[in-house]
Amino acid sequence: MNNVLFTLGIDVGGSYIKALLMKHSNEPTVIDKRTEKIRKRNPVTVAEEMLSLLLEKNKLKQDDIAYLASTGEGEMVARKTGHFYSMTTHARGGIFLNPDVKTVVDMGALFVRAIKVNNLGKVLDYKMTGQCASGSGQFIENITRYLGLAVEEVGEISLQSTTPETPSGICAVLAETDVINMVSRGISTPNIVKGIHLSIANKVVRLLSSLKAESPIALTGGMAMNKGMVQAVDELSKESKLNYKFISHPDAIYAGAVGAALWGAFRYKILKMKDEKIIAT
Amino acid sequence: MNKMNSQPVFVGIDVGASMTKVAVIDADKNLVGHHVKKSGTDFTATADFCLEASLKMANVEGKDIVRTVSTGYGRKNVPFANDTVTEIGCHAKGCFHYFPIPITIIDIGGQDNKIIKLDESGRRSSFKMNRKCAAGTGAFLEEMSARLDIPLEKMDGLARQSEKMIKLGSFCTVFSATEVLENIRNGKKLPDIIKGVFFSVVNRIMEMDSLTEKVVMTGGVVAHNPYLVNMMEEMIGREILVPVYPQLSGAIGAALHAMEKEPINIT
Repeated sequence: MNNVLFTLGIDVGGSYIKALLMKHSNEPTVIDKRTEKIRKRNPVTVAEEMLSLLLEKNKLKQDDIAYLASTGEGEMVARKTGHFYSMTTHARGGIFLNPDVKTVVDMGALFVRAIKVNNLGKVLDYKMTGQCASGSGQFIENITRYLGLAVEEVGEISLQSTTPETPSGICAVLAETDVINMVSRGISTPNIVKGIHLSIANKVVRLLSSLKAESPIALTGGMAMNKGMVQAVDELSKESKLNYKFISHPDAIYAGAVGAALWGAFRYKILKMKDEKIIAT
Repeated sequence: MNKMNSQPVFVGIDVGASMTKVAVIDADKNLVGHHVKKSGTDFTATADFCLEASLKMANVEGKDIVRTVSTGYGRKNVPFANDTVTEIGCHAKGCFHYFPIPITIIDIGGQDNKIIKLDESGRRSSFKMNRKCAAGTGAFLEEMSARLDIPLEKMDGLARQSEKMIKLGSFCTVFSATEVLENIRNGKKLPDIIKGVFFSVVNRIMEMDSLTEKVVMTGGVVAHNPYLVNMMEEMIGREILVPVYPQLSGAIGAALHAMEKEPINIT
């Protein structure tokens, strides 16, 4: 029993909070997980509720958790043991979910970051978007609002497209006018949605090519859960002769939380070793 | 009572991405009729409507129109126009008509920004335009007012009440919207937030091009938010000129183009 320990990873993103419980015995395994859309609520309270629910459901108490690791905007989570930078947690989580990849792309609500990693999840190089929302998940959320769709269904809708209609600009706000015009011109919803996906995918592929990314590439983050997005990125990479090989894990949205939980366990062990040394001397 | 004062007129139609503007001028280049309406989805219908309203205001009939020129994003959607001219050409002409000196025109439209420089004869010496990004445009202010749940027309008055402006961290409209909501949640004062939003617009324009010579500001955003002009004046430390109808300068320019193409001989 002494060899088993539990860690929690909590990844507070721009739109969703992801929390994940991990058990570490011989191999680290994911026991339970939750995602919650923040909407207009206070992220701190949402995070606290999620953590309580996870513990309760698994009949654990706060004291049973060796390390509660936060990442993303999670520094505000009150009961965390420590905080880890997103770049390291996403790299580590990406490698854990997809062991053989050389690059991890985190496609989140606010920005996209492409990270080159080694087989231990160490960050070798990275590039990210940040100044503009044209390559972000927020873009998809805006479009679903204009078209009256749910974020969860746009991916499937995009897959139905036959002749995608790309918007003239790339701005997530100006695209609204484009979309309205497309609707009035009678362009089908799948073709509009696919066009937006391609517009975002274009940003992602350009980021990858500027990083000189190597395949296989793991797609993670909320947008990696969207099949239409994965397809669009794949299509564009083929079209531009980059021919990247993409992998997307069903738990792709949890990459940051997984990484945090793993780094948490790692730091716990190091701290414990130091303590033991102090006691021994 | 409703007697038409039949006289030859020239019509300029500026179909913008968000607003359609019509200007009717007489043979002496006086603005005798005008109308502004949201472009909506049916550009042609909106253009028709605005033309009707402008003619009514000018107290003339359709048959009095000598020539019509359309301009703007939707200029191809005006079937009754004789000609189309680019918006740059029209804005330049419309502004130079009011200020016949070397000028730098800043036009803040619903979805794009333009900076046009004219020499002493009204010729264009440089031109910059932003069409790819909503930052600094009317769309930016619209999105902010929607997020703040404040009517667009109240923004100007609120910004003026600010004592301590809160600057935004990003120029991006989407990110700014999130930031603005966060500021509200943190109990920041509305006027201070809105002034920061205005500052973002001013800043974005300053980044586009140098502002040499006399500066003229036009466009719907300026028409409805004159405080932006004051803020810009403060930034560049000079007085800025604004035409009487800042939103109509493209349409007036189009009407002037129409007149040039087909001058009438007054004998």
